[in-house]
Amino acid sequence: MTLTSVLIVDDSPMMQKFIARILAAAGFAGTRRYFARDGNEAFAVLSGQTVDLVISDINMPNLDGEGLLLRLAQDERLHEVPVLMVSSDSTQSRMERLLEIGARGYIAKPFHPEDLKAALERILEVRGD
Amino acid sequence: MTELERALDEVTEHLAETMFFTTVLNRTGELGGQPGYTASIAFSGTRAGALRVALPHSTAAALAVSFLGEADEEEPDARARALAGELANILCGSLLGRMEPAGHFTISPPEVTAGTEAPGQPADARRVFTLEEGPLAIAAVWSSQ
Repeated sequence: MTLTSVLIVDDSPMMQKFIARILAAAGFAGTRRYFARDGNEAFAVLSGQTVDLVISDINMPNLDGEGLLLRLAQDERLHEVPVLMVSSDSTQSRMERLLEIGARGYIAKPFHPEDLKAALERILEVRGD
Repeated sequence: MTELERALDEVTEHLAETMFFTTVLNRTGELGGQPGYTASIAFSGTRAGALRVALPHSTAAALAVSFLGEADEEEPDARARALAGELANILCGSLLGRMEPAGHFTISPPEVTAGTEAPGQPADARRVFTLEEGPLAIAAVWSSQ
């Protein structure tokens, strides 16, 4: 199972570091990592880089996680990039909404590192890696 | 014990174990007047209210090491403040999901201030936990919309 590159989108640098740490511990230490603090920054990164996966928060300034999903869905080049949402919003309505508009997975904070690893593996398996 | 207090206990213990790799030693802690931080976060929607998290600098710094797996020699104060905000953010979202799983909410970004007096303000539930890293106080204001 390979994950060559990942984009981590979160307005909290601390959470960016935490997710990167968990990725490394989950066996993805060699994965190239890119970071963005909101959906607009994420699009700027994606305009110049190809990534295997986006891991995104929901509540962010400027363009939030839902807005990012909608823009990705409308983009001819990026609409198939899988997005895993990671958010402190654990309400059922929010989870259902994001999965409806294209998120491939959803993890509510707080989560165990094994939960993130399992979600990544599910997405990569569906992709056929 | 009220449902809100029980929910605060559950989400705090779950957060401590999953993302900070620590445990709550007891629920009868005291902040003890040490210098520290208070992170406040407001929410609106199905319910309106606020969550405040207060903790000494020493607790925040130790939790930051647990969270990130490394010490930061250059900016320990900034990292401790950021940790307080992150704690409030995660705890608030988790509490709302636990209390109102079918609800719709807008959650404000956390505001972090110096000092740990805020839990003395009015609250519908207040808990002071002792973690392995030190005390952690949480207060919730929980109103109808």
